Amino acid sequence: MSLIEFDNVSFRYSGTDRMILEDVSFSIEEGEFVAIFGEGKSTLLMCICGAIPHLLSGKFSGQVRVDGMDTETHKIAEISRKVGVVLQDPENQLFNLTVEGDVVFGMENLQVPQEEMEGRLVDALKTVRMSDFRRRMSHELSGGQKQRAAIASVLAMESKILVMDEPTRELDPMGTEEVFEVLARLKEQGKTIVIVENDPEHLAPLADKMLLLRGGHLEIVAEPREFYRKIKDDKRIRFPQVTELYFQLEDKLDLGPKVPLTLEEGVELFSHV
Amino acid sequence: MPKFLFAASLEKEDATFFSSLHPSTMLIALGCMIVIIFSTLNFLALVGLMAFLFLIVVFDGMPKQSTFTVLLVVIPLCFFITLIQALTDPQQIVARFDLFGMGITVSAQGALLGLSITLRVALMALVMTMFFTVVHPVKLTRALYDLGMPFKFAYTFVLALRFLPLILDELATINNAQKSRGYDIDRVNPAIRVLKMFPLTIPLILSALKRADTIALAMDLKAFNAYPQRTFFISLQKGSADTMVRIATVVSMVFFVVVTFQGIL
Repeated sequence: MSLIEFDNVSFRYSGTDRMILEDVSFSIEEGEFVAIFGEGKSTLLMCICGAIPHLLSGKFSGQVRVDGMDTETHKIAEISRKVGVVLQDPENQLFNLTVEGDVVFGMENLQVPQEEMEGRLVDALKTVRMSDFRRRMSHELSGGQKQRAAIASVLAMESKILVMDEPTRELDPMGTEEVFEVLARLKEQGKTIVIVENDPEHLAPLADKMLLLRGGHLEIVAEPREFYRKIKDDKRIRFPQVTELYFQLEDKLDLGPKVPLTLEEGVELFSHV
Repeated sequence: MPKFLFAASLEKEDATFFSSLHPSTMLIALGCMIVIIFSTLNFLALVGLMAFLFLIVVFDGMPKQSTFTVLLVVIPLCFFITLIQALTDPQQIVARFDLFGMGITVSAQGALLGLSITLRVALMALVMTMFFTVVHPVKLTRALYDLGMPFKFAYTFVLALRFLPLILDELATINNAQKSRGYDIDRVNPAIRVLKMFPLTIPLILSALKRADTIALAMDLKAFNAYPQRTFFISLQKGSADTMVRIATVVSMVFFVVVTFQGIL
């Protein structure tokens, strides 16, 4: 059984006739890193974490199962034990005065025994390299540090799945680098990550699978090289620079079928031309 | 973070004697002090109380400047209270003069009463500041929850403190954006400034509402208030110092009230 399963999911927000998702079906396996592009991507994330249909009003049909739980029939608190969510603006996800307070907040809500919290807190902060910031005031942190603290707060809840909605959108390049460094470590640890993000340079090497939504429908589900090849003429999606160069030159030069995703792969490929 | 929130910004939360006490002890002490302050209008008794609180601030190691700064804020209010009392009280008139044809009297009793009310206001401001200076907001939340307050209400204080700097930042951003369009509220007199602030509050309220929505979503996704009970990372313990302070403050309050109502003060 897959960890996340979408079965003919459709959704439109209250007050509109436009379907944001229409008969969307796919599955995500445990340990996969999945990137989502196109229209309705954030809505799709909200379906995974149960915010739809529990918190955001609209017309929902179909079925979303997360680790065997139907998100429609299970409470959001039960889903939150499986799915941790990191949103765009880190400011809106840190509710407490200190980093420590924010990391333990979810655990306290989930009634984790007090003696278990310290260990989880230390591990989560270590994973995001924020151990030295434990007692720092949340408002004193940089954007990247805030987002890492937000990630630590969901890691401490020991969710199997990490759902991220443009986590680096409000960050500077340094902050973005910090967040992706953490994501790479989490992927190595086998965490299932579903992310909406517009940074192809960082995303492409990490992703196992990429999804494209168009007009409410799921148009493409593919591994990154195949995904970029399928959408190579679509100007709405940003490519890694080296991938873009490959597509511009592949007809002119004999570059072979393997689409490069990283600078290293590009150097290797172009050095043989 | 407001400067008076000394406890919230401490690396070591029990840095002073009073900050190491259980928050419920400090709530009892605060309640007793409020009763004492409101039980008398005797000028000398209130001066004595003020001196006593000054000594606590100095000897407990609380940040003096930020604690006493609050007194500067209430000075204009105190001045007007004293002036109104002195000019309106009909007893013990010590001076009379004419102002634009109106007979004005100055009452010694009114001035003393005004000063006493002034001291009461200043004392209230001081004890509240001292309370929030030594009681960590997170510990206070825990204590209120233990006392039976629903967590979502007890937590409101921490949440407000967390987002206060953000709202101030947003106000500064909106103000700067308007200044760049020629709408400058900083170079006008205070009365006009207040009026010119109103248009700035509209984007501020809208952005605050939008932020509140996202915060509520993020909190729900972390199972906030999903279960009737919750666990806590911090533990609060009462020691012998708590018992001593509780007894001392309650006895002082009873003594003060009895003495006041017997007419000794």
